[in-house]
Amino acid sequence: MYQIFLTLRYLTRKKIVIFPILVVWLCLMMMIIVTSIMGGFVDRVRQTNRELLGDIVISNPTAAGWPYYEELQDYLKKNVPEIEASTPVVHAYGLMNLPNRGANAPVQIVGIDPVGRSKVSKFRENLFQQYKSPMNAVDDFVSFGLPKTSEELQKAATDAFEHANQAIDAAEEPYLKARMGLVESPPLNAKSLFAIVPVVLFTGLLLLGAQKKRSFKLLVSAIVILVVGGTTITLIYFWPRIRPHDFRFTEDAYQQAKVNVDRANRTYRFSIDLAPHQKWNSRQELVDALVPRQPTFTVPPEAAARYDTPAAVPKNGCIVGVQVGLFPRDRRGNFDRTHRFDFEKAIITVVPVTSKGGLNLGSAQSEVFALVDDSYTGVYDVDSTYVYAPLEVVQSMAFMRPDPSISPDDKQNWFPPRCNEVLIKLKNSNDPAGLEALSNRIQNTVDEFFEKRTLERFAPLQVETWNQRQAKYLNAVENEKVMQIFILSLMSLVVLVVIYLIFHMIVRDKTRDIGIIKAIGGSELGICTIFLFYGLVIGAVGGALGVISGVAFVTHTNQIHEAIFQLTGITIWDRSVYLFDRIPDTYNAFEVARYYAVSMLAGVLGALIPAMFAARLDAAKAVRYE
Amino acid sequence: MNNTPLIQLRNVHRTYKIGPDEIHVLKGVNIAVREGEFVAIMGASGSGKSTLLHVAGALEDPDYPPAGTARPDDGVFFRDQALHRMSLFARHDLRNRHFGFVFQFYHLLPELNVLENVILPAMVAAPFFMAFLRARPRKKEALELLEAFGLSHRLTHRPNQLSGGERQRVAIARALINSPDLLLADEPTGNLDAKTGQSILDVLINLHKTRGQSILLVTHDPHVAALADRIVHLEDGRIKTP
Repeated sequence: MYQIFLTLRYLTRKKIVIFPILVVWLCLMMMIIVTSIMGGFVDRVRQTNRELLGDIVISNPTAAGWPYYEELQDYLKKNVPEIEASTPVVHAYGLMNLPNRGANAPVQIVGIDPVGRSKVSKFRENLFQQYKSPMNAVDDFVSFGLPKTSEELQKAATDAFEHANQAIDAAEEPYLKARMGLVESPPLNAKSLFAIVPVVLFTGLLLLGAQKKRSFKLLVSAIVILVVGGTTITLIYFWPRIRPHDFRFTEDAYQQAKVNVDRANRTYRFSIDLAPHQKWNSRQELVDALVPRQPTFTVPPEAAARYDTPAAVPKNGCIVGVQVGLFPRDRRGNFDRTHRFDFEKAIITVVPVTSKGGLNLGSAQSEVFALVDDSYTGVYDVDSTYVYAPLEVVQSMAFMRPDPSISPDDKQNWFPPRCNEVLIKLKNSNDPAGLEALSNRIQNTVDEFFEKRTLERFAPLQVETWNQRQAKYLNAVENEKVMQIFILSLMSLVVLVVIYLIFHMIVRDKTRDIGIIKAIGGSELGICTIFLFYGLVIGAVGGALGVISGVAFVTHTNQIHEAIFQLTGITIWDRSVYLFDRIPDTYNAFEVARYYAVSMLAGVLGALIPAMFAARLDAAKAVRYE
Repeated sequence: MNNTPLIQLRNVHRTYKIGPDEIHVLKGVNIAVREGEFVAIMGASGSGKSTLLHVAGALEDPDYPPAGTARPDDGVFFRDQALHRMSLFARHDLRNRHFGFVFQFYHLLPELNVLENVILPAMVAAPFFMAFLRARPRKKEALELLEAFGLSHRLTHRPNQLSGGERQRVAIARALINSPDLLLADEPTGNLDAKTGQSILDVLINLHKTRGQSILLVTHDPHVAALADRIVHLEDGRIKTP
């Protein structure tokens, strides 16, 4: 017990203790920030790749593609019950010309079935007009307020929906960028800063007071305020996110909402059925109600009316990658959407690839499409080159599907339609080992399927998991993270050395005290425990400060970046260059807890040798002189 | 006065090694302090007084005689128990509960206030999980002691805010908090002026007379030694027989 008592006294009354705490604090903060951001990158890369490809990809290495994919899909569905959905993809190369903008760009034309693609990947969620824009409205709605009484609830529902609809209205206005730019950086969260600053300031003042007045009570007060304040802030932050939302419409609110929703339905092809007094228990329910379930390439009637004549309306729509050149992007990553997205014309020319893999330049096919949406995956390569169009149209343009006028009986001219890839989504894909085993099974099934068909003109098919498909890139990113952690860990050895040196100084300074403690009956173990506990507390306090500030920094990285930009005009994170538009701002709680444990261990280890030295000090010698 | 020896040193030697040299400080010292006795050890500087006190107080080990030369009754004995046969824990416990040290330079912990300095040995004595339960009665005892020594107005002062006499009284209170059997005082007035020194001696004599406190005091001052029941002269590491 006296060990804890003496440790606390030394902590409050020895100024030198600030230095090891500072070192642990800064080091842990650095570890958390760097590993969280690097880890965030790795996770985002992995997640995005998976979202793009689904779980398993069947492909062959030629651009000419391969036939019988529909039969293969059916065969796989029958023989591999773990498959939830699959969809074919065609890749072609060409040029996109936007006559209204006077722009053109080389692109990769990707033929897909939008509904099927959405079943295996996050295609639907990446669409701005059909998903993200209304989702912003949902977010505005859901994050609104914390109503308690029924009156507050009604008001909140009305206000929130009005708010949501203002956002929807804004989507049609030129000031869309300012209101809800796709990746607009969130403003600096003043609420969070104001919540944290007084607690930190007050705790700091009390700690200073405790230091100056040598008051144990002030120290305890500071700790209590830090704990209570921290808990309160945590609750303020997380409670709105974890509490169940329950909005009910009153009759009036319903009527008001209905007008707005009807308008939204017309504009965005929502199909919301707002029953009176409807109750949405969760965000998902609201999302399901507000956001259309199936993405489409069709041009909505309101948009078709903007063309001069009905004949001028393109038969097919296309969805372009957001970075193909439609919207300029500033250094902060915002897309300038001031130029209205008007379902305008896009002329796409495809250069077909022959079945032998050569370019068929003489038969380049051009087709007029209407831009119906833009897709934003966050992967620059995809967003800057992909243009999605209906599968059959792209197949025809790329000569991968025979002309519909040719009968399959015409053996001379007819050929089976070809695709480049089949993407597969599994029912349960969370187990990486299981995924690989299943991938092998699918490979066997594919081989078995093609044994019955002649494939001599096509390269054999490969079945890969999303992980294997991107292995080279993912492993490089992963290795980079491991390397960084390794280098940081080496740097963190400095913490051990600093703690050791300071404890060495403290022990030398406290030689006489150690003699006195021994003279009044303190044992070697007791003396050793004082310094080990001292090290533990330094690790714990410095670690706690490191965790708080590191996590606060990580979760507010984008706001801090934004604030630096606002204040100085300097952009550290140039989003026009990086793969992702936002700096990763999530942390791994388990990893943070592990670092915290390591910081405490570092405190103990750093103090170990000086503590053992202290325990072995000659008491009689220590008390002999002043 | 009880005739049982409380502490007994029989043929105690102590040698220090300084570099290649060996300094033989205690050369076969024999001394006993009975319960309730006030013994003063007198001697010149360097005669081995402090070493004798540290050895008697289990703060320092005497030399272990070469194998084969040791006699079974040599060594330091507390109530006839040989210290060198005690476990390490028992010797810590001995210093904590049975001995109380008072040093020439007070040796208070500068980070603790007066009350905390006094109560510290009681905290050391308390088992870890009993410390909270025992804190209140021990605090009461400490307050009583400090009041008896006229320090109740200085409870929250730190040692550097006290005078020399006050510091030494705090040190005596600290030595007494666990009601030790033997008070070991190493030149307790050596660092004080005559008047303050006298007041400290008054405290010790009062303790001896009212509580029957056994005291082993080391001094080079004959006036201080004269207050003891018995004076033992130490000269060049040996007890000088009159």
